[in-house]
Amino acid sequence: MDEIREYLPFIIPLAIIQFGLMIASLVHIFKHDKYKVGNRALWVVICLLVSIIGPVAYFAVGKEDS
Amino acid sequence: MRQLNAFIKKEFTEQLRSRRLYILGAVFLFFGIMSPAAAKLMPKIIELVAEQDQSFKIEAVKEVSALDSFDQFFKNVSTSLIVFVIMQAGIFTREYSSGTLLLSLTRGMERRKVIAAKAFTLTAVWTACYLVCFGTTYAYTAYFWDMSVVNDLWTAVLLWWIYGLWYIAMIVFFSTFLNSATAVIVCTGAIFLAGDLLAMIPKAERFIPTYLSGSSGLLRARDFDYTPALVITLVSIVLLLSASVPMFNKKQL
Repeated sequence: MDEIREYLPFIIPLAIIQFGLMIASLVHIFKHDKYKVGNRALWVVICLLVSIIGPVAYFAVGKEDS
Repeated sequence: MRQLNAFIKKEFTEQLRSRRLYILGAVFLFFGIMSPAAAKLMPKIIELVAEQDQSFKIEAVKEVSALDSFDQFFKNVSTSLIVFVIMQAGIFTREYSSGTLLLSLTRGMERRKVIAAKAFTLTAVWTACYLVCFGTTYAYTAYFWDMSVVNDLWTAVLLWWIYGLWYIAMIVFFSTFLNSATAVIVCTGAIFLAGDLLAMIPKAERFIPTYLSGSSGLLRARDFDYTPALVITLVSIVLLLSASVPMFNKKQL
């Protein structure tokens, strides 16, 4: 337990970033139905399973521009 | 001047509206936290590997210090820079395909001001993201380790920032004659690779901008003569940006 406590200052903010990005990308995916690349199912799976990189990839290449 | 200010404001609104600024902020913050975290976990990872693989011998596990944390930072910041280039490469090309740039230009906006505004926006975003990333690593490192072992942190940090500006100049330059973000990314990547290949020639290494990405050498007071690379980087930034203006003036929109 002590060991985990030692890493809490890292784990908490990292978790916030990870879940924040995941939720933001999922909200965006479900609000739009057109994507530059791929389809909804693909992006939902990527954003849920690939931490950090998944949502970033969605916003970088998947999201429609306007 | 009013025109320029208005255009810069428009650029920032676009950065916020497209969520690009938030995503970059999150990525840079993530890497800012990851650097000290990786340094702190290092002994644990080595231990685990050693337990599983008997042939793996540890030659006296060294103490983790502030240097390891900053080493990780300079490694991670290059990944962040790649994300930055990928996300921002479309800053011109998006407007070519949507036609919004034509709208501003027909209203009397000068083309060189478009370049100035976009280059300024990119610089501001890069600076802010870089500060977030470095600030986070610095805060964690100062909290966990003794900072007195670090030799010349500020020069190293400044050199890496300038190295980032070089990529911004390339994005702007390539965008003035290419029409897709992918093409801009590929060309920027090609220049990076060319620089890396040239750096294999021992005598040329010191003169290539990519040499600046090794600025973490300064942390250990190694022999690291960055002046030639710095001068060449700054000159090429100025050349790229000033070449962008006539190129962009010629461009058919």
